[in-house]
Amino acid sequence: MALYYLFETAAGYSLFSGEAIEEIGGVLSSIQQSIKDFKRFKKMVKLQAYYQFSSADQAQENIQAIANGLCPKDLAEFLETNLPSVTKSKCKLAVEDARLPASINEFYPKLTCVKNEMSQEVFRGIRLHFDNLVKGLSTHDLGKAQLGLAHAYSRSKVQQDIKRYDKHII
Amino acid sequence: PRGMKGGSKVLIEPHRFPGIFIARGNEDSLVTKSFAPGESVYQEKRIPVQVGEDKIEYRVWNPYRSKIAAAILGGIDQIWIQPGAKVLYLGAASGTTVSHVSDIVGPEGAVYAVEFSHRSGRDLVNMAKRRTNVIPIVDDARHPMRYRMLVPMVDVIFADVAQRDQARILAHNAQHFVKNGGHFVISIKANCIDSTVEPSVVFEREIETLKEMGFAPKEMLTLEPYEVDHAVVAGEYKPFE
Repeated sequence: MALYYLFETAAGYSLFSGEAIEEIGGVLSSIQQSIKDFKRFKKMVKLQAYYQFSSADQAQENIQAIANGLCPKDLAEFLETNLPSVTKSKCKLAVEDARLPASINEFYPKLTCVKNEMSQEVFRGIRLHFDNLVKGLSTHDLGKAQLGLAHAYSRSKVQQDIKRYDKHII
Repeated sequence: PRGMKGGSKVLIEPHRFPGIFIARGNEDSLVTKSFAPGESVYQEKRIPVQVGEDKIEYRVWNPYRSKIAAAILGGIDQIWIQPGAKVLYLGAASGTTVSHVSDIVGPEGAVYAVEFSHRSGRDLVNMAKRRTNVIPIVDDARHPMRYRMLVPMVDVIFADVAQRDQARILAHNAQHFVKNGGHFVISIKANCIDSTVEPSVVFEREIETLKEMGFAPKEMLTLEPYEVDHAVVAGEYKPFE
């Protein structure tokens, strides 16, 4: 069964397809070896779909939901458009955040989400090679998107909390 | 007004760590080349230097206010934070040390600075306005999934979170964001972890914990005389076999 990887960035959503890797002894270290080398890694995952946020406001709405482990409406639509089927069990979706499946399943109860040691390694590879995997979006652009969104996200936090007593956790 | 007194000679020499310098004057001090000249971040002394047409400004880095500076002056073998590096910085506070890390990594590098306290976070966000290589993240370092959209794979992770389970917090973040073969530097305040045993015992235990979590500690350094019962541990994450 085909396995898809959902990867969220400051610039938008991307979906990669890969073969389902079952957990067999020794496979983990071979994945780690492949991740080192982009030529090998690009055979493991292929970009299937990419959705770019169209405005800073949209990016901020999405990160607010994602930060809280929720599936935003834009993401639900992205999955419905780009997965083979969200209503029949034709594929599995690997996610990086263990909280996300519950929220995705509120939209699509039949969609099976996966998160395990294997998928975690693959996400490390996607994060490492992202600019090579997604043509047309240079690392520089992604860096700019991260910078802009981080400021917006952090500003919204310190502003909404301005009168509350400070929490000295860290 | 905060510069060196007129006429006093200051010589800037490179430190053995790239991106870090020593200002030789009446007293030697550790300095970094300012990414945003013309402004102090925390009222630190600035040293303008004329190089031909260009005006360069260095900022004095106080080891009593920064554990990284204390570790460097204490003679740490490798600090890993260098020009062009991407650094994930946990426990950024108001951004005083982050501003020096920003100076060091320069325009080709980046500092992803995570701070949970909203009060400090406000200062951090303000400091980052003129330092475009600082990505301020006001969020909880215990939950890296909250800010995963903002952070790429980094070369170095630094943590100064003063929490009992800080090794776990470091590991949790490294799992998602640190390259295989990347590096870590962690500051350990003994009495934050266990105040009932000797600091040296706490440090040894922390090193064991780090090993269990995929880190390969290479060195440990206590921070006297700048900090009491503090140590810095540095090494590699998920070394290649």
